[in-house]
Amino acid sequence: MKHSFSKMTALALAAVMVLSACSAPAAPQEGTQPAAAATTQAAQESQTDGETTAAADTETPAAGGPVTITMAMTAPWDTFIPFNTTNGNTDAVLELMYDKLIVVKANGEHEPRLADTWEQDSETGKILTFKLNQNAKWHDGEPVTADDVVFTCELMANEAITHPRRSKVAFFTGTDDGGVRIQDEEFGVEALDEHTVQFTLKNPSPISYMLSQTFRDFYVLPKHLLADIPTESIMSDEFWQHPVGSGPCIYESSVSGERIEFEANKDYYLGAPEFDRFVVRIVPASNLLSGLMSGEIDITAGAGLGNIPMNDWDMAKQQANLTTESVKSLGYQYLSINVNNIPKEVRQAVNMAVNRDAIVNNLMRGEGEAAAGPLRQNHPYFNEELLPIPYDVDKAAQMVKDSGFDTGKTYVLRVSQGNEVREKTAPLIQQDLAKIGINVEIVTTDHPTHLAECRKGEYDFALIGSGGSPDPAESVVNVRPGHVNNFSQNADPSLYEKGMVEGFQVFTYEERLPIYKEYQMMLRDQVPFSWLYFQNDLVAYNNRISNVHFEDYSLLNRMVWQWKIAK
Amino acid sequence: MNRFRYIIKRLLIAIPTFLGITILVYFLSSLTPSSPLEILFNDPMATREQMAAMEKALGLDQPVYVQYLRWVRSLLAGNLGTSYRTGLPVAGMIAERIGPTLILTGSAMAITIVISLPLGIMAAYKPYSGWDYISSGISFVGAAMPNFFAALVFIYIFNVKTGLFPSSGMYDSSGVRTWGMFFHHLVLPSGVLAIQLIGSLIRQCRGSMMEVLQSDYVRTARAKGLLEPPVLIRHALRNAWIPLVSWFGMQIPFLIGGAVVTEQIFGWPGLGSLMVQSINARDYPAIMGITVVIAIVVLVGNLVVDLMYNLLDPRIRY
Repeated sequence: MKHSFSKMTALALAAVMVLSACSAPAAPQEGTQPAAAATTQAAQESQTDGETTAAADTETPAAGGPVTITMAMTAPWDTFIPFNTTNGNTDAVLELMYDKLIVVKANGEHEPRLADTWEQDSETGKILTFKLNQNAKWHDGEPVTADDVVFTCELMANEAITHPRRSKVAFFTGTDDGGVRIQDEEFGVEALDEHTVQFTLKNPSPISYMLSQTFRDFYVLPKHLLADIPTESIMSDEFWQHPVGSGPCIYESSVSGERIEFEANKDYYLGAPEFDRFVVRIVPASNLLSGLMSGEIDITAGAGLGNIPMNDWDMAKQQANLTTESVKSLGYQYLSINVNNIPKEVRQAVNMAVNRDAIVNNLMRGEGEAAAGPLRQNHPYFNEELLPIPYDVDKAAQMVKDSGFDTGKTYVLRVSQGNEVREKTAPLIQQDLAKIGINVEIVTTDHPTHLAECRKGEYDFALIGSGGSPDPAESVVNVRPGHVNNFSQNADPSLYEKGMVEGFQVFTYEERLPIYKEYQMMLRDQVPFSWLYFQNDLVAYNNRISNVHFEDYSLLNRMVWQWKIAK
Repeated sequence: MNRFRYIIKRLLIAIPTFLGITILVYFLSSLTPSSPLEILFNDPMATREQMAAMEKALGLDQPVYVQYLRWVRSLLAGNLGTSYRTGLPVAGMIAERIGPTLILTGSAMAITIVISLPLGIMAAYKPYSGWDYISSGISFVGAAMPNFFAALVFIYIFNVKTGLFPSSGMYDSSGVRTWGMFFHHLVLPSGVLAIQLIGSLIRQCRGSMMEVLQSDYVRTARAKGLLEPPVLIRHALRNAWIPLVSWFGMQIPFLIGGAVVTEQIFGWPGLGSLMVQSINARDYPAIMGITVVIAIVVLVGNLVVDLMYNLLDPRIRY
């Protein structure tokens, strides 16, 4: 037996040799590489950076070596062309390389970034002037000037290219409704001097709205590197393979769909980052916590781009090496109601029948807040009169009965895949609606299909989310008749007139506050949407990092140059 | 000569098959009720005019058959087009992702072969022995355990509990990317993939060898007084090859298309995860590009497998 066994083993090995030599092309690497590779790895580690092994063991790098911070997000970036995307994961990366004019804070305040100061002409409300930081430099050392800002806007308005962020420039004079430059008209973006840029708006808009909604993802590009490239071929130019910006991180390299590596911009004009290298890695949500625990990851991207899954939250909180935060996010979820199919009284009844506390306490384990409207309770424009949020099933059922609404029919409740809590909300809403006599069938689709059907109005009820904003006018476009995101098919212009006409005639907080308080009450009366909840962002990061402002993440500010890193 | 004519014939048949695949995929993906615009304009400020302009620029306002013909024309010119999602040439995107997929699936296949063939052969050589029970046990576990479950178990044991292997990505963050680091990251995903393949190959190998070992020519070989190793290798294994080669042929789509689930769980940036991202973004040029690559490799792979039958067994004629 023993004899035949050894013969068999030899034979089997021979068979394997033959087979692996003729099978998959990559197979031989399995047999040959590891030994050689292991030595090269050891050699490289000892000669270049001894701290890598130390980092895995103790999470604190040995003094002297470069400090690397790894941030994890769950889906990859799309492009390095800042205007050719509307994708949040891409913005998270762009914001590190390129600069924006300002930092939008979750509390509604704005802080300087590329611009030191900004002001709105209070008479017409149409002229915004930004003074740029005189010390700002591109990664190649050239100064950042007002011409760069003008160039970026001209590029975005150029008819020769088509991109999804043209709405940014459609606000300025000299462009048509789609944001395309009208040649014989003067462009509303001008450089007054080397460090002053002036924007002229077609219609007056409060500067808070412009900063929060338009300038929050407006990235400035280097004119001196891009101006000589013909616009027709600019989108496919080599520049984007190795972009040069003026932000706190300098692009170094990337592995498609896996990581981007940056070098810290130690000359950053707002302050040198405390780390030396910054790596953005794409890590599946289920592996975030294990990566944080082992020290492979230092910080999650937060803001819905890299949140700790609810199921891992308790375990995350118990980890001694991690700081966890349940961050109040501006982003909200709502039940869109098709106004063509569901009359106003029934919509009001639905709004009253939804058990928001059950969603927040059971699905989110309390890591969230019931929504009375598009603004969170700590929002500077929140209307206290919306509280307590009405919840009265009996009254709602009576209202449905009184309205003569057809309860014999089965209505459609649409939900998309990809957001666990939102998906689980659907059956709860279904039960809530059943209690007031409305039967709905849940239709789950992927997100693009969901959006397409909602935009077409092919539904009765639908669960949708939005990122929210510190500006109270954020939700107005979604109830504007004719707008793409007017999911509820609202045809009544009164909400739009209140929120974007009346609210855009005045520019200060004090003047705008009463208008938006009224706007919130109008929303509750008309119920194009029934607001459901604000879900907190569950984030975690290694204890060696501090001074992290997660509440501003959803507004595309990670302000990595302010992070404190324990050495 | 015969073989040459056979190859030509097979290649000619492959052309309509290939076109059929592309037509099917193109029209099926255009049947979904949404368009890439929904994802491109994930922006509250977007307007209908801007979406219409983009629709026109991408040619999405044309009827589907016009779009398809335009796509075929550019394919014939050797151009796989430009991705809607990234704005990059699709060919380059695929080129970046195909390497990681081939290494992942290739190494899984190598692990499978190293483990399964000896076990399978031995199980057939001594049926109902300890070896046989061990190998059947392994193959049942392998075949019965879904990839995603095996992945979670592996991550729990080898990452969370023991910290032996990283749970995602291809490299760590040290800034130096070495082969050693790469293989360290490769262990868990390729191990998970191999588990399932091992189960199936052991069964295949055992069954095939069992049949051959009972045949007259093996008995004859033994009667001639040959030692067991030459009997097994020269007489038995050679004849047991054919079903095994078929098995490899069936794994080709998997090898190239990537193990979608495993790539997702381990954050392995291969073709499978690119396909999922492209589908989610309705990135038609990328979806079609990946389809083309997979279709070509599968068609050519099948042809190679068919040709190998003849090499292994000259009685098989075309």
